[in-house]
Amino acid sequence: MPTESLRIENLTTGYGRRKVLKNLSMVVEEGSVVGIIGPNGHGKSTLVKALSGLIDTWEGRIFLKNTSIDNLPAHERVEKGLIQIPQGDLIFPDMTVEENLMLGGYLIFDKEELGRRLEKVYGIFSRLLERRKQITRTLSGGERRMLSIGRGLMSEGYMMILDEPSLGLAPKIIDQVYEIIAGLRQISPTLLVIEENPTRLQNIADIIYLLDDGEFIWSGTPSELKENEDMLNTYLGI
Amino acid sequence: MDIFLQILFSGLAVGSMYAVGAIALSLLWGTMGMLNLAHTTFIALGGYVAYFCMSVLNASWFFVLPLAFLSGLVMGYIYYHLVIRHIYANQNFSVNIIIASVAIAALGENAFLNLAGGEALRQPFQFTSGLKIIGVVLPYQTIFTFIMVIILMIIMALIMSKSKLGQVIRAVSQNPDAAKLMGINVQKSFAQAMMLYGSIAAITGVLVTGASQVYPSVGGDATVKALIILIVAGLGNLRAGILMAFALGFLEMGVNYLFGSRYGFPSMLGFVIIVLLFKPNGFFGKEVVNRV
Repeated sequence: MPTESLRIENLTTGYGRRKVLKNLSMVVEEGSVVGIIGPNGHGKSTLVKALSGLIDTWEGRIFLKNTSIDNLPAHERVEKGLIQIPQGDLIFPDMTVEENLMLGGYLIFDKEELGRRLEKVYGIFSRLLERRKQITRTLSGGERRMLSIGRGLMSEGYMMILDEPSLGLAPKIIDQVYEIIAGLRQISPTLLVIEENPTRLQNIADIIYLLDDGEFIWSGTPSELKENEDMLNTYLGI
Repeated sequence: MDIFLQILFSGLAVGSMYAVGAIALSLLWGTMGMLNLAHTTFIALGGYVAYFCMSVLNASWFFVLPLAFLSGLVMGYIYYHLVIRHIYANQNFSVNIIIASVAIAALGENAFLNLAGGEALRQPFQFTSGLKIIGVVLPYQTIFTFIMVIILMIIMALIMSKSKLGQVIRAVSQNPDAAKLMGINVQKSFAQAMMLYGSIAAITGVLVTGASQVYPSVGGDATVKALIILIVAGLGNLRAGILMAFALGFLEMGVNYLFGSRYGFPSMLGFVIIVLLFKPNGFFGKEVVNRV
């Protein structure tokens, strides 16, 4: 039986008094890529925040490798290997590219190891190497996304959550980003990828969940999703 | 020539005072977005520690700065856990902390009043003589304060740019949520920032009171001047703040000598207002370029 990387049981949460996620349950098996799709404003980002600990869990449980993490603050979840690669707005705008990357390896104290990882990231993103001394607020959207992914790679975490990696990027750049995501599995084999629509996920995801109005209303393999295109179009308004 | 030297030396003295008051305040305001009006308490703390060490315990001057450093560190830690932590956990931190820090300043002032009494005490950690240049005296205290300003500024710059603590403080100040996602314990690093702040603020308190005397409200003036200087220089830019401190010191003393001492401070404020009218982000303040 495959190991469970992440298990969510009846997760309910929101902001203030507004309930956004209602009774979500799902399992991500070790070594698999799970995609979550859904229209904007239906809880995708809230789910990411709840998993990484930026907002509290109201009800339900979250387990990482069979250990409950729902009571842990965000930084302790990172220590346990749950890494979030946020959308481009969660960078450190007044630091250089390299300083941002080094903070991705904040929990690594071995300097040589840090250097090795930095080289590895620069090997994947030559653009970041060119811009290593540049202040990140001046980067383009695509470069920010690369930085965000590169920074996540520095931690070489156990599992990565990618929050809408294609958001706001030109199609050509999205292709590049997804090539890199496919390559991520060598470093962190278990991925949870959040996207608005499934086009990009179909090639890499093992299972896709559809999140609508705070609930999972469908899940299945990419090929099953293709057979249900009509349903998908209704929900995503494509 | 005499008048020129007088203005130069007294401007240097006042400018050093202003600069020294601004250093620690700039750390908190420029990075954590925290306007700490309890700065006055830390300055008084430094002054009383110096007095206690040398005049009560009769200890050597050698212990004053280390002791001030330690007491400021402890005070910063207590201040964080007693007050800041609770306000930071809620919304509107940057406004609410102003009110809370005013309360702490009042509390601190009364605590000193009860412990040490209201009278102004001579703070013994100071130089009394000076260097005579063409008939004008440049006090050693001014030279010492000036050198300390440079040293503290370099130490701060090194901590912020080279140390892990500095990087973490900058990361948390720029984006606390992103910092959490890097595995940074935001609360712990804020507490560390407060300890760093407290230790430097207390040391500056020794210097500020060395030029005057020590009494419960001694830090008030230095705090207000430091606020003005940091705003007019451009927040978060310590080097610019120090430069501005000396510029304003020279301006104030120049006007004092040439037109009479009641015009010095008003003309300084006039200059500040004019600068802010034309450069609302401060004289050296960067216009923020954002790529969306």
